Order: sequence, then structure tokens, then C-alpha cells
Amino acid sequence: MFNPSDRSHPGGPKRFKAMQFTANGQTCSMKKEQRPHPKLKMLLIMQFTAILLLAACLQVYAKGVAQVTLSEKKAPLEKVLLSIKKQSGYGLVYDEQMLQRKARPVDINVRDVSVEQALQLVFQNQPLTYEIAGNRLIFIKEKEIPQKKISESAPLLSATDVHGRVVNEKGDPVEGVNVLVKGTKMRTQTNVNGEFSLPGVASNATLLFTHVSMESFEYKVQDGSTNDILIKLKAKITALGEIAVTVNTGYQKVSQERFVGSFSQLDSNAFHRRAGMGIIERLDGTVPGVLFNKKGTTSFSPIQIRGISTLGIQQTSTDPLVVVDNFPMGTGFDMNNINPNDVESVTVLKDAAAASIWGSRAGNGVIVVTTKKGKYNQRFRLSVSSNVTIQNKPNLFYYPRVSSSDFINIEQFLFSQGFYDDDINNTYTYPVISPVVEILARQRAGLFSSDIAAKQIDSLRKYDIRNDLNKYVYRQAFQQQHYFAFSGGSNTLAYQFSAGYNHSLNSTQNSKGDNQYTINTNTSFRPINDLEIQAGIGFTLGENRSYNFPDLSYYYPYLRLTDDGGNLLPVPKNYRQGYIDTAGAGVLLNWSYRPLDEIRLADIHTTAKYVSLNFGISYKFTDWLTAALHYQYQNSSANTRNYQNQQTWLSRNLINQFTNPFQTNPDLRYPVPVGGILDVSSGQFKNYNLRGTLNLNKRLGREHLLTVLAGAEISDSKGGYGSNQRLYGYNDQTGSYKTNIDYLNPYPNIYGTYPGTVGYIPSNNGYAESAINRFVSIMANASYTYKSRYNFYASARKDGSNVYGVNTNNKWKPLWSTGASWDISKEDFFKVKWVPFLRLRASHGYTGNANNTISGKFIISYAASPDPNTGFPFARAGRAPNPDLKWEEVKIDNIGLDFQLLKNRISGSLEVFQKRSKDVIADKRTPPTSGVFVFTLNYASMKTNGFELSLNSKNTQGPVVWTTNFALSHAKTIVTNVNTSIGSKARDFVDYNINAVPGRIVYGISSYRWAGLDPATGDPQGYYKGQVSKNYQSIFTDSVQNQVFHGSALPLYSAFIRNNISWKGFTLSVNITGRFDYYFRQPALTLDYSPTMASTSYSADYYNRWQKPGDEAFTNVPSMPYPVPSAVSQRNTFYRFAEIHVKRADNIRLQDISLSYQWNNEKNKRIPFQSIRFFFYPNNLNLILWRASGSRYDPDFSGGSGDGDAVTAPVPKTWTTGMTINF
Amino acid sequence: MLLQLLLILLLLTTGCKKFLDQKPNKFDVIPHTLNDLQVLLDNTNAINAKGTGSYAELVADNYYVPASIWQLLASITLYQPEALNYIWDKTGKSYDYGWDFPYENPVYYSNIVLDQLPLVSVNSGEDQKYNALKGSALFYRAFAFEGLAQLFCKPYSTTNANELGIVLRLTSNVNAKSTRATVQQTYDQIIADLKQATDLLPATTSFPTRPSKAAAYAALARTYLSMRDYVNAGQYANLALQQNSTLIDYNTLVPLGRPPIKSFNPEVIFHNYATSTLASLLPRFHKIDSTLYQSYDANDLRRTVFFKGNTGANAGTYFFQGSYDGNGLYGPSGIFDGLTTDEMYLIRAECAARKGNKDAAMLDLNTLMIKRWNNNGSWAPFTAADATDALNKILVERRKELLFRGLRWSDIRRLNVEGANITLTRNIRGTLYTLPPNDIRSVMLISLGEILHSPDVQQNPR
Repeated sequence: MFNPSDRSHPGGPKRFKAMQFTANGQTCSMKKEQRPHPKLKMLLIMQFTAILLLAACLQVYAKGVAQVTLSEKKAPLEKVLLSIKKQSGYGLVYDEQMLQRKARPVDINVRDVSVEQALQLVFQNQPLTYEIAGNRLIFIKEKEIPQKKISESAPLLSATDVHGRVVNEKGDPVEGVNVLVKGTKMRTQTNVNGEFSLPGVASNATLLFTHVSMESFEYKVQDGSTNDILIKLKAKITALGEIAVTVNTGYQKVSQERFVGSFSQLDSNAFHRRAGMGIIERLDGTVPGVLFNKKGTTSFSPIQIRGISTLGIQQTSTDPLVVVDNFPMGTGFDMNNINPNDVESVTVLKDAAAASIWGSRAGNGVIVVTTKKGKYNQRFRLSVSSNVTIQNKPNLFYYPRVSSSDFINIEQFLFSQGFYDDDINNTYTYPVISPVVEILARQRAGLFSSDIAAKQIDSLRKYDIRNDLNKYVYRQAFQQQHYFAFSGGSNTLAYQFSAGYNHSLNSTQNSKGDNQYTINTNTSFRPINDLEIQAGIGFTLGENRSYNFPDLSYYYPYLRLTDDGGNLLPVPKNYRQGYIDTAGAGVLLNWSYRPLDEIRLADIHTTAKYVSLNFGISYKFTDWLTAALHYQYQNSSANTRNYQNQQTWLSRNLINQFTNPFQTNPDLRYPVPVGGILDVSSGQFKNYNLRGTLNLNKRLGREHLLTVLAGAEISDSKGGYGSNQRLYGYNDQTGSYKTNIDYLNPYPNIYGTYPGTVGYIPSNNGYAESAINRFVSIMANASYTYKSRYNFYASARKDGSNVYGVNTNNKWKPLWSTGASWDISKEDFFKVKWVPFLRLRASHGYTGNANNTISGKFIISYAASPDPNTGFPFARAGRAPNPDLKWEEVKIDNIGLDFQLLKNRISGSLEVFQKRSKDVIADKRTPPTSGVFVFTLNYASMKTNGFELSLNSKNTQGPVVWTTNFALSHAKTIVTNVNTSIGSKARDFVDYNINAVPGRIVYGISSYRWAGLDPATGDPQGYYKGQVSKNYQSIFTDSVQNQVFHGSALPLYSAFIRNNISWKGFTLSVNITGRFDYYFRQPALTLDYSPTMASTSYSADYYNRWQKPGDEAFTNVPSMPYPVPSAVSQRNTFYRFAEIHVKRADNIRLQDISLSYQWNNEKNKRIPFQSIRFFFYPNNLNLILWRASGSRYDPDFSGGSGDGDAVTAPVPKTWTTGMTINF
Repeated sequence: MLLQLLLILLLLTTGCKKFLDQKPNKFDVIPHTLNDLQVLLDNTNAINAKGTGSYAELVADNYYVPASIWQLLASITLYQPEALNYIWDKTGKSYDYGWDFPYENPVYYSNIVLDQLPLVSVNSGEDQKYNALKGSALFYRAFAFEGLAQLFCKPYSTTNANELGIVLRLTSNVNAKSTRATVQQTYDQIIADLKQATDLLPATTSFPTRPSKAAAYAALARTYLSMRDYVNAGQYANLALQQNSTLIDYNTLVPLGRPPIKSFNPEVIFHNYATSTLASLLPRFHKIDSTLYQSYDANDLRRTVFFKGNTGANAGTYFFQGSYDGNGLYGPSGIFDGLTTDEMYLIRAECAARKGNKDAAMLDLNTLMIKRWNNNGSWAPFTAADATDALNKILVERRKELLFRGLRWSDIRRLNVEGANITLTRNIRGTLYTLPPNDIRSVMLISLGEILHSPDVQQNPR
């Protein structure tokens, strides 16, 4: 209600307050609060909690807070005042005559409010005002307007009190606006409601309103009684969106001016620009310092904030901490439960001063997601939005491979060499044989003539499974999101409600869709002036029924899913088709596998529920001290019902495998009963958080501002479990199933896998509880601002967790940080006109990486179920104990410079940082005789250096506004120390992994030097000891110095440039991203004939293979001799990891385009909505504009291991279009 | 009021001590009682499954692998060490699991128990339990050491006594140094531990996965036999048989069940097997040496119980199905290398023959063989002209009885020390690979991990 800073001014805040309510003509919606609130129940809760709070901890204060209840309609003022006097025991001083002459009738209906609050309401529309004098004396007096008279005669000498509200273009209050009386040192800031007050302002003075992200505004003080003003500020660069008003650290909202830490924010505009995507994914290519790793397989988190701070050993988290509103997203909870439409902004906390408030879990950076909330004093607002995303089919032709016809030629050649003879003659397990080989085998056995065989084979040459997949299996994925929300707020109540429905259809034809329903509500009340209560409920229901088509890439390329007539064809699986067709004639179920049938038969249904309840209460003891309590409960559960009816391959296969034709007793003949199989599973997570904080915000004199936050927090994730059960012989019509399944005794496998052996019926029943993680933290931070240009900040935090088997002292980790900023442009000596704003920031401090899983003592872990043979319970030995084990610590130093140039046409910041991780948990390899292979200890250390530059410019103004956002970030992480005796060898760097070797880039990639092909044999050749060599084994273990160390596999530099052009309601925004200084490995031809069926093992490089001496002059693809040389596997490995396949990955690409049109209804009152926005958003365009080296593969999506079959095509393009209407 | 809030905070922090004492996982326990240690040793997958038998069988001569399979294995990085060990390749690669597994579980777990025993609380009346635990730990460790000694150091003899032995790891401290003992020290340790175990172990246990007195005697008999101390070997075999002398009449196994021989059958004194990563020993890959198969008499039931004929293109070849690990739970390639009564009969018989006691030797042999013979009236007792003849007959039956038990390799080395002159050969598409008697390659290479991380452990020469 009132700005704390007001009260520090001598001369009477109380008088001020009185005035505020005498002339509220321009402040909005004051009338609303008079009405009795319909939500009586909620009010009761409010009161109850208010009383609880007061009773619990504030008995001292209670006597000062007299409460009154008033219920009057058109009552005389005097009567109301006497009622207040009676209830409160306050004294009342008034002029009876004046009251009778001037007082207006009073409408009021309040329960248990403070005297002050009651008076405020009572005097709201009165020409009179009040003052509380001394301790408990109410003076009623006429509203004084002497200034008016004086100003008329002697304007220069007169003074007036100015107060008002500052709102943005949307009418939302703006906090942290500097209000300055020009030519004086008088200044103040707006509070959270955008309100400010300045006492004793010269009546002809000019007020200057300045704010980081808003255009400055000058206001000439008007004489007279209308000094309650409403100022509407414009956002500085409307389309920009990255300049934030406040920074939400998850603990507190700090105005950017006083925030010394490093952060980046996607505000509402920037966030919603990328519609149709996940929440965290929207940071990709839009925020400096955040890097997304898209490589197919890797051992590390896909998101990295400013490099890497841990090796991720022994379950140390490698992911940034994600905080939603006040609390971290609990373990086991899925971000997808948050509807992206509910998100207001996403903030990335990057340095110690920003992140260390999250202590030992902030080592990988912190991402704070803030959801939309209602705001006080905001008119009712309804918005409806809807969007549709279409995603292209997967690109099956991305990886070039030999044609079906040539593949058949290879098969014919191999067949003639006897390559398939073992498989053909294998009458034990009957491995799958491709149709061509089958035909050739029959021809050889004299079953057909060579003409017929050739004809049959030739008929297969024209087929390509990818065509079938495109035709019968894949479709465009489709997603739609519908959302509606309303919000609003009076002076005492702010609410937000939203409901969303998301529907998606995956890329498999005939697969059922997934639905998600979300409901989110959040309400804040201020039942009495100093008390705020906030409660929110979030509920998400997911109904997933989609079926993902299996990967068929390991089949021969001419595989067909249907015949010419469209009838489904069997696809060989596990066994040779000939065996399936004849085995156990009449006894077994049909053993054929028809993938398209499986889609039709799929009946899998997952229901996921997520509930989050949060509750907050804050009380302002004085205008500078607030206490708050926040509580959150999260619960998520998922149930899956997967009914595989008797027609599904899984059921038929299991039944057949155990079928025993020699038995007549049906239980023994079909140990797995004939019928369907029902798998049901369920799981649940629960999480509790409770936090108490104490906020001190005190202005000492005019030049000193001290803010202190102290708090304690506990969190407990418990009660999580997962269970699954399988019912055999399930009949979906009757719900009956077989109960007497014998899991304990082995049954013979007459058919199928390893016939003649025995096997157990898979029970699939299980239950496991997840670990209980508890954290206790105490934290404090303080910031001190002097002359609003010097900021000093310090924070400390201590975290404890329930690590098992550690002494209490070692369960705690203390961390701290400090920082300062200096607003140079506010100095008197700074007179550079074209630099209106210049600020220097620096911070230093520590964050950590907690690891709850490592014990200091020797631990045994009991197995869930007893030994099946002995029935004894048993346990396994835990990890080798290390009593000295600590949590990892990350030291971060950051220096930043924020600036605005040329009348704010250009703004931006430059940050330089250094991170030093120490005590990084690493596994020391130990000799096998020790009984363990690794010993976990705090051995490694790493350092990251980097910088971030971001620039925002307003290139044109006027009807066409053209703005540009540019950012360049650099982060390079080097392992400074690690205890490992491996890592100096060339082969240790060939994978896309964390290759922790001292002095090397953490994601280093190496390769073997290439010496071309052997002119005589076409063998790949490398160098060993300076000589051309084919001793591959020696090359692998050669020192990496002698081979090739390329550099990082992850970009060391990343950049984006986004141009936004708006004209009238149209906005076009184009985002171009760049990634630089890194390497990728192109997939290589497999030189091995052994995976005979897999079409993907023969890349199109096969055509370029060395075939005769002389070929080495124009090809690097080695020969593929047959019979394969005995060292084929090393030959293959050498070639795959040879230098020639590693390419510079640097590229610049067009990532996305956003086109929108917004129409604001400013005049036409008959149209019920205020604005309407349409947008079209193509994403994942992955249109490479420039690349450092030619390659047909997209460097950012090149697969993990470099295997042909690990090639992942870039994420298909998506096209989103949608509309938002605000009412 | 500030003070009060601080007080609340303080209360909160003192309350946290208890809050943070919550165990993260229910199943994690710091061992406090004897029972907590017993459950470690009852982990049969760790304790009874890490035998050395499969490695010993890989390099021995009971089977062969068709050339095509061998070539396939040789071309796959994962199976290369196995393929090279199969031909005793000189440039060789260590088959790492052969060394690592026994140390990883039986030795390490036993050391944990031996180290923790003095630390846990022992209630009155638990002395027997305490003794059984200590005896078990000593036994498991010694049993693993014995298996390792057959592969990674030279066979015991007076000349080899001071040669490099195995690593005698006697502590659970991960950071302790590993060094190689001498052959003499290796066997001294095994024998001392087993002898101590005979005093501590109970006469009977509920399952043969837990060692009994008989198991310790049997292990001593096997150890002394490999040391060619035939006096002690015979004595301990006798002691073992005094505890348990049951034999299965193979006639009762017909018609054959699947599998023919069950686990924990009455002949098993101590249950142990080798989880194998070896593809060569899979039923569908290995083929029984045809001469060996032919040596079984038609009325010898072992011919049908142990072997199963392949079909199709492989018809005429046989694979082994007579494992004593029984139910096939551990995969078709698990090699049973535990202790059994039939082995004890054969040890006692061999020792009697070597002592010159032909009759006692033949009595034991016939006690065993009658249980293996078809009771269709074809049984005629084995006879021997003299003690040497008896010995030879016993050795023949020993091989035929105890094949795929991991014992053949140890026998080859032991007998070659005595001049038996057994040369092993492999034939791959016409290329002959041989392992002459007492060749340097009959001592296996130590695992690469050990050599890399234990600077003091010396690799065996090649």
C-alpha cells in the first residue's frame, strides 16, 4: 500500500497517507475493495492464518494491532467513527460542526481489520482526513489545501506533496522507477505497486521518471489538489524483451539496478515468441551463456550454463537447478507438467552473486521459471490463446546408403563366399536370414532354377523400406495448445486463473494421441494492510496413448511392410521365417511379426497427474521489516496400463517360447497361458518445501539503503515409489487373468531361443522406493546501496543433507559470495553525454554440487527380494568408503559492464568470468585386486574462462521500428587436475564424452593421423613412431601428442543475432545462431561385413571404396576385402576414428522466424476485446547459412559414437501458428 | 520480536539434526550385527558365482570351437581376448575377468567380513555364528585364491616355490598396495586359511552355498592334490567323505530331465560356479572333443547324461549339458567348479594308488563307477593289474567324470610337472596351435587393469 521509503521522510508519512485517500481520483479500482468479497471461505482462511501467525510469534506486537469490524450502509461518518473508537479503544478528536457540515455517508463492510485500514476506507471519499497522533488518538480535520492559495500568489515558495502510481503500457504497476525532482536531490522509488510519494515538492517542479527498461518521462507538477498522478511509462525497446525490470532469484525480486550478479532473462515477450516448445528449450539460441548440446548420444546434460563445472561422476548432478517460482523442481518431477503458457519469464542465474543463494545445488547454474500471477490494482483481464504446431516427417534419407539393388549384389557376393552358411545351417537357433539369402540357399539346394531365383531376386531390387516407412508409418506430427486465463486484482486481492489443453499426435500413423490438461490458480490477499497471504494450486493431468514405431534400420533395405495389394507382410524377427512357418506346426501361435499390426494393436495408456500446492504468508512488522513463510507440496503420479493382447507379437512370442507340446496338462503345455498380457505400473513422487524468510529493507537517511534477507529452508522428497505388475492370460473382456503362474521353476524352451535349454517365465513384478533426499539450508544475504549508485552485496548459505554414514559435521556445506556494483553514470564527474548509463559490476563467490549418494562409511545394500535358490536375504557391498569425501565447490568470479549509448539507441553488457571447480568428484581407477575398480574421491579440478557480450540496438524509430539483439558467448572448460592413469592415449579422446585429462579441454576430441590408403591393399594407414603404419593397436594406445588432438567437441563460442522489424501491428523477427570453434565426427563406412542384414552399415561411401591399386589417389575409403582380415575390428575402428572424418563444425544457421500481427483495439468499444495477436513461427529450420567445412551432415546433430546407425537427422522443422486474444 | 524469530530459526536448525538423520535409502545399512555380515556372504551371485572354472575350461582340451565361430569371435573386440586365449596366443591378451572376478567379490567380501567382524556387536550365544562367519570368509577367500593359483602362477613344485605367486589380498582397504607373493606363500596362505576354517565351520549348513567342515576338508584335498602332496590330499579327501559320501545313481536320472542334473544335488559339498562372459563355452558354440566322447562306454550313463547331440549341419557333434550348477539359471555357459563327493572319491582313489594301495584305490573307483553305469546288467567292476595301472585308470575316469568342472587345466599342469607330457593342440582351418608341456603360456596373463593400476604387480612373462 505504501512505500516504505516514504516514511523515512520527515514531515509525516501519515499525513501523506491521509491525502492519498482524499484524492484518489486517478488511482484506479479503489472502489472494488469496498465490496464484500464473495469468497467468504477464503477470507476465513485468511483470518485464521493471520491470527495464527500473530498468535504464534508476535504476541508482543499483538497489543498494538486493534481490530475493528464495521458493516454500515450510508451511515453517518460520526457513527462509524464512534464505532471504531469503541472497538479499538482509540481516542477521537473532531469538530462536530465540521463533521455535520462536510461529512458524506459511509459504505463499509470489513471484518477484523486494523484501525488504520478501517480509517483509510472510511475516509476514502470524504472531503475530510484523519491523522493518528501520539499512540492512539485520532484527529479528524478538514483536508487542508493551503498550498493552493499560496501557490497562486507565490508559486516559487510553495510546496506540495506529490504521490501517484507508475504503470506500463499494459497498465501494470512498475516497480523500481526512480522519481527525481529535477534540480534537487529529492528522489524516491516506486514500490511493488508502482506507487511513490514525494513530500514537499516545489509546486512548479518537474519530476523525472527513469527506469532501466522504460523510457524516461518528465512530469510537471500541477498546482492544487490533484497531485495524485498516474504516470504511464513506455517500455524502452518494445520488441526487445530482454531487458528486465526485476530479477527473480527464486528467493527475492531485486530490481536490476541493485542486482550485482549476472543473469539473463527471457521475459514474457521473448518467452512467448517461441511458442510451441518446451519451457527450458526456449532458452536455446536466445540467451547468452546457455549452450544446448544436441549430439545424439552423450554422457552429459543437454544444457550447460557457462561451461561445465563437474565431471558428473557417481550421480553428481550435471543439470542446472530448475526453480519454479519459489522452490526447486523436486527430484523426479517433470518440467513438462508446467504449461508453457503459464510462464511469465525465465531467468538464468549465472554467477556466484546470483546463484549462490541456491548454495550447494547451484554449481551448474540456476534457471528460475516464474509463472504468471495476478497483480494488485489491475483490471480484470481475460486472455485466450491457441496455437497449432506441425512437425515435418522424420528425414529417413538423411543418411545416404547403398541402394537396395547394390545391397543385393553384396549379399550375392557374400553368399558365394559362404558367408551366410553358418546362419543357413544353424538349425539350433534359426537366426534371421534375408529373403535374398534365403532364395540363394534354396537355389543352391536345388529347389529352384537359377532363372527363377534371379527373377525373384530382381523383383526385390526396386524396393526401399524408407519409401514404405514414409508411406505407411510416418506422418507429420501435430500439436495443439489451447489456453485461457484471467487475472485481475483490487487493492487487497490479486488473482490469476488459467486452464490449458494440449493435444499432440506423434509422427506414427494411427498412433493415438496424447492429451494434457492443466489448471493453475494463484491468489494473493491483503486482508489487512501489512499481511499478505498467497495460495496457489497447480494441477496437470496427462493422458498418453501414443505408440512409437520401432526402429527398423537394422533390416535389409528392401524390407517391405505390405505387398502390392496392401496386405501386411511379416517382417522377420528373432527367427528365420522358414522356421517360424514350420516350427511346431499346429501347436504354436503364429509367430510372424507385422510391425504395422503392432501399431493397431497397441493399447498403452499412461495417466500422469501432477499437483502442486503452494502457500505463502508475509507480514510486515514495520515498514522496513517483513517476515514470510512459504510452503510447497508437490505430488506427481503416473499409472501405465499396457495391454498386449494375444495378437501382439510380445504375447505370441512369450507363449510360443514356453509352449511344450509333449504335455497335455494345459498348465504345463502352456506355462505362459494363451491369452493377453497386461502390464500395469505406477509410480509416485512427493516433495515438500518449507521456507521462512525475514526481509529487512531500510532506508537510512537519504543516501543509504540496506536490504537484508535471512532465511531457513527445509525440503524433503519422500514417499516416491515405482511398482509394476504383469498379469498373464489377461482377458480384456472379462477382466480375468491367470493367478497360478510359476515364476520359480524353470520351464523347457522347446522352440525359439536356445531350444533345449530352460528358462523362467519373466515375472515383471517389482516394487522399489526411491531415495529420500532431505535438505536443510540457512542463508542470508545483505545488500547495501549508497547514493543509489554504489551497491554492495554479500551472501552466505549453509546446506545440510541426509547423506548416510557421515558425521553430522560433514553433512553441512557452507558457501558464500560477495559482489559490488558502481553506477558510474550517476557520478557528477561523469559527463559523457552519449553514455547515459554505465555501470560496473563484480562478484566473487562459491556455489556447489551436492551429492547425496556417497557415504563416508562402509555400507551394505540389502536386495529387495531374497536369493531365489536359498531363500536367504542378501546384500551387496556398497562403494568403497571414503570418509574424507566432500561436496564439490565452484568458485566463480565475474566482472560485468552494463551500458547504454547514444540516447539508449544501443544498450548492452559485457561480462568476463572465471569458474574454478575444486574437490570435483572423480573416480580413481584402482587395481582389480582391491575388490573395487574405482575409488571415489575429490580429486579433479576444472577451470572455465569465458565472456559474454550482449548488445541491443534500436536501429530505426518511427513507423518502422527495427531493433537488433546480438549476443556472443564464450566458455572454455579445461580439466586442471584429475587422478587418472589413462587419458594420455589417443583412443581416450575419440568419443564424444567428458574426456577428463589434465590440461585438456573437457570435451576434447582426438583422432588418428591419416596416412592414406595402402596402394597395394587399400588398407587404411596411420602413423606410429613417425612411420606409416598399419599397427592399429599400437596407434590406439599411442600418446595423443603423436596423433591428432583437434579441440573441443562442443562449441567454445556461440552467438545469436535477432532482428526485429515492426511496422504498425506487424512484427517480423528472425533469429540466426552461430556456433564456433568446435569439431564433429562424420559417420564412416563400416568396413566389416558382419552385421550382414543392416542396411545402415553400408553407407554410400561404399561406392567410393578402394577396389584396385591406383584408387588410393582419389579415395580415402578403404577396401572391403573378403574374407575379412582377422584384425577387421581394429581396421574398422582406426578408419572410423581417423583424422579424415573429423571436421570443423563451426556454422551459422537460420534457426527460426517469427511473424506476428497485433491489433490493439484502442477506440472501438463495441468490440469486446482489447487486442488480438496472430503469429506464425517456423522453428528448427536448421538452414545452414555458412559452415567452416563441407559436409552433408549437420554438425550439431552428428551422432554420438560416429557409427553409421547412430546418425541422427536434425530435428524436423516445425511450423507453429496461433492467436491470442486479450479481453 | 527479531529475537523471537531468531529463536525459531535456531530451533529449526537444532531440529534438523534429527531431520537429516533420515536414511536416504531403506536398503542401505551400516553393518552393526553379525547378521549384516551374514547377508553379504549369502549373496550367492557374488560369492558363489565368481569361480575360475570357466577360464580354466576355456584353455583346456575338453572341447573345440568350429573355425567359423572362432573367426567371428576373433573379429569382435569384446571377444578377442577370449579367441586369442583359446589358441594360447603368444602376443596374447589377458582375459581380464578371469583375474578380476574372484578378487572383486569372494576375496573382497570375505575381507570386508574379516575386517568388520571385530567391529560389530556380538551378543552372548552368538559365538557359533561368529565362528561360522569367520570360517566362511576364510574359506571363500582361500577357495578363490586356490582357483587363481591354478591360472596365474606356476604349478606348485619345489623348484617353483619361489616363483611369482598370486596377489594375496588380505584387507578390504581399497588403498592398500597389491604385490605378488611367491608360489610357496600363496599355497601356505590357502592351506592356513582352510585349516583355520575347518575348526570354525559347522558340520552342516542349510545350503551348499554356505561352506561346511566338509567343504573345507574337500578344498584342502583339492589344494594338496594340485600341490602333488598326495598324502595330505588323500587324508583330507577321506575326512571330507567321512562327512558326506553320498553319490547319485545316474540310473535315477533317466529319463533325462531338463537339465539332467539339478543344482544343490546330494553330491555337492560346496556350490560354486563361474559366471562366464565366454562365448566359446556356449552350448551352441562348443563341441566336445570327439575322442573324448568316443571314450565313454555305451553303457556308461555319463555318455547320455553329460552330452547332447547337435542336429542339422552339426549332427554328429555334441555339447555338454551335465553341469552340476543345475538349473541353467546362470546361463548355458556357467561352469560348475564347486566341490563334490565324486571328486573326493577320485582324489582318495588316486592318492591310494600313488601310495601303492591298489585295492583301496579300485574300491573307491568302483564305488563311484557303479553309480554311473547302466543297471541293465552290463556292470563289471574295474580291475587293475597293479597300483600304476590303477592310477592310470583312475586318471582316465577322473577326466571323464570331472569334465567342465574347471579341473582339467589344473590336472594338465600338475601331471605335466610329473612328466605326463600332455600337449594341447587347436586346429583352425588347418593352422595348428600347440601348447607343449610346462610352456610359459600355461601361466596366464594378469588382467590389464591390474598391470595398469598396480605398479608393483609384475606381468607374467611371454
